Amino acid sequence: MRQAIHIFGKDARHCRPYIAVVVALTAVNAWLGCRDVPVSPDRLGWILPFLTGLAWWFAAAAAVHGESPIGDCQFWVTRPYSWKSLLAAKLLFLAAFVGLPVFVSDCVILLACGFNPLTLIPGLALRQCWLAAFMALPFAVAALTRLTRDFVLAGLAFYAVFPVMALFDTGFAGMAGWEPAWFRDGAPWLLPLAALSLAVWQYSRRRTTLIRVLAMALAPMAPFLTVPALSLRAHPALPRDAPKYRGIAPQFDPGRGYRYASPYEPSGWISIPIKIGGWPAGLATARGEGVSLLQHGRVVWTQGYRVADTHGDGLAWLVFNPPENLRAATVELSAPMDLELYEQPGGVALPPDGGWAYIPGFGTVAARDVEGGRVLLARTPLKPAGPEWRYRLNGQTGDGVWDSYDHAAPVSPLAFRIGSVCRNVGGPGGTPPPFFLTARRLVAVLHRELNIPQIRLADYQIQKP
Amino acid sequence: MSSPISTHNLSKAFRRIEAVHALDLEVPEGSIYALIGPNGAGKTTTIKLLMNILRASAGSAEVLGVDSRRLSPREFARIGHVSENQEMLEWMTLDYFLRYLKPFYPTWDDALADDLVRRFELPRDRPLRHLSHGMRMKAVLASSLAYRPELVILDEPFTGLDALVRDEFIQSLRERAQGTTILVSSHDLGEIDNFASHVGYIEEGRLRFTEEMGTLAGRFRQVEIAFDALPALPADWPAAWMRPETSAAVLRFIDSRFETERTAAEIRRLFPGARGVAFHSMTLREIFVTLALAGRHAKAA
Repeated sequence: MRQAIHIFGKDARHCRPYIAVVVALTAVNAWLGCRDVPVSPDRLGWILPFLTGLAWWFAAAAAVHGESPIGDCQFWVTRPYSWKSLLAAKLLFLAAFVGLPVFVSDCVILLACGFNPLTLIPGLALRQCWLAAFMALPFAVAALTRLTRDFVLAGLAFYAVFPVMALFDTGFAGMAGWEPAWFRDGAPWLLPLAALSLAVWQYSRRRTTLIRVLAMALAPMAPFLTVPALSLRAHPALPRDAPKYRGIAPQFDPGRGYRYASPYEPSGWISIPIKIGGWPAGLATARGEGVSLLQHGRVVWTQGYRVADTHGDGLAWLVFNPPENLRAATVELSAPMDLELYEQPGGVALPPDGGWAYIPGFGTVAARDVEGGRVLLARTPLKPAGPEWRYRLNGQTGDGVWDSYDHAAPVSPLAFRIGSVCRNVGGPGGTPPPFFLTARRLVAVLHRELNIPQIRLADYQIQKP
Repeated sequence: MSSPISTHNLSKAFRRIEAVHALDLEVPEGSIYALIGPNGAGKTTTIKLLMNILRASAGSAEVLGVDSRRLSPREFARIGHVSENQEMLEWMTLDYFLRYLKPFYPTWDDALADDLVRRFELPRDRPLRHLSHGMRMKAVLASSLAYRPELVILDEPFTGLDALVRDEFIQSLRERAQGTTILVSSHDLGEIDNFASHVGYIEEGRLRFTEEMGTLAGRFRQVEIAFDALPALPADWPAAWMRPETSAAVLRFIDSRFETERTAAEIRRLFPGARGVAFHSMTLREIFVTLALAGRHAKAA
């Protein structure tokens, strides 16, 4: 260990410029995290995390390349270096100059947001584990390259595959609930573990050619394993069904009759009124797959459909556009769908002065006036990957009742901005209207089928007002 | 203790090219062993195998009594390795470099390190990357002698050094030679000649011979035979007589197994009409050139 610390000291001295950049960027991150209005991730806010990640990568490369385990001309190869000490020194470097600053930054942000870091140790530890997993890859790439140029090229080649895979993100998310448990839980860790194993092997044996070949063979597979798994982890692993959900099903609600089209909807389409029985109103939504029309037990027409939700009252419409000849006839309708069930731990009136309000199980929220409108802010303490949250905002604006659509909110480990909710509310200098925010937690996704034995579709045609 | 360095059937192939073939080498304790051979003969590969930088394809090597594949920091703390193309921590000043290395070596001697730096007139505060090639080599040597290693291995240390630096280099090695075994690979034979106690000649990965310098110098002679009229070379020309050359009425060749009586008797038998015979001793360079050319001719044949 003494040797590892000795080498670490040398690396810390040599990599001072890299360390300075990493610490500076982390400090800026912490400062922004402590602000009441964090930087929006959808504008230029992505640059800072990107630069920070880049700085981590280059710091790792600088430390590893200081005594590269590649090649046969390095002076240290015939000096009394222990490979274990050398490896430990490099890992210590990453822990001290990547992990520690992030840990301190997390604690500072949590304190600034009113959370006690000591009560959130598991979450902080998990953040460090994810960070270690993120750094395993550059560490391995650095251990298998000698020059910064090669390091950059190898990193670029590897990461080029990830954006491509991310394009299929929605598709992977659709798998949620059907994937094997090991894939969801283990796959994201496989790549860092494999990378770290290769690095350790390289340090201990210096079999560069063999290990590079292995790495190149594994690299193309890594995104295919990691991206779907990460994508799935971003979505809750929810029960598809359980005995307690047996009575929950979509129901035909003929009493509501036809409805009028909004200016944005096509008139002439069919809109079947449905409700979801067996679950509190407003806490279930339906996602359609396809509607089929049958006559005499035979499918005569099938098409995808969408569900028009009426925001909070638990009532919905099945909207589709069948051919004219089937509208006047009596047909049987079959529509499989996914029902998303939510629990609502609580709602809270947002203080008009922009102060923070607490929602049990979620965190604190506030509505703040910013230039051009107002934003909804949320602060959630560190949580392991958990169920997805959604929120809905109701309020009385100057123009009347304002009701937001459902918005998804990631359970962020730190403070975040969950979105602009309205603009020009109350006017400059005016009194902000009261808002009531409800946070809902997705608890189950059920696959059900709506079956209407006899229906005349023309009775439910959307009308122009 | 067994030899500080010994190899048994040591071989290394890079794909189909055999860089070292079945090398059996013994470096006696306390010797200054010169491993000589033409470029590409396998000298550097041999040293890399000894230092566990490369893995042998076959055979084994022992360094300081330990299988070279299992050399640990404990052994490396007793070995000084100097190579002309070693990649250093270029950003370090010499002073910091020496301070950095010190904790790695239990036997590090600050006074000796200072003495070496002074003697080599090395600038302590200049980064290694700003040192000339000669200064870098001296810096590496100083850092490799400051802990009084039992074994010093030098791979082509004289390449690119000017005469003055070379002298300083050798002088330092000579002074440390007491109780230290030194293996030096080089094709700079002029320096080795006055310096080595043993020599091994390697060619195409094969150790052609290994012996003490005194013995080697004793068994190689340039022979010059004068005639009235130059005769044809006899059909039973001895295999040990190499590089025969004729000019006017003089025949010259190198006898690689020279013994005064035996060589003289053989000349009398093969050249009864010889008018005069002279034996000239040879430098290591001349012996090396003779062997290298003989090897090349044999290969061409």
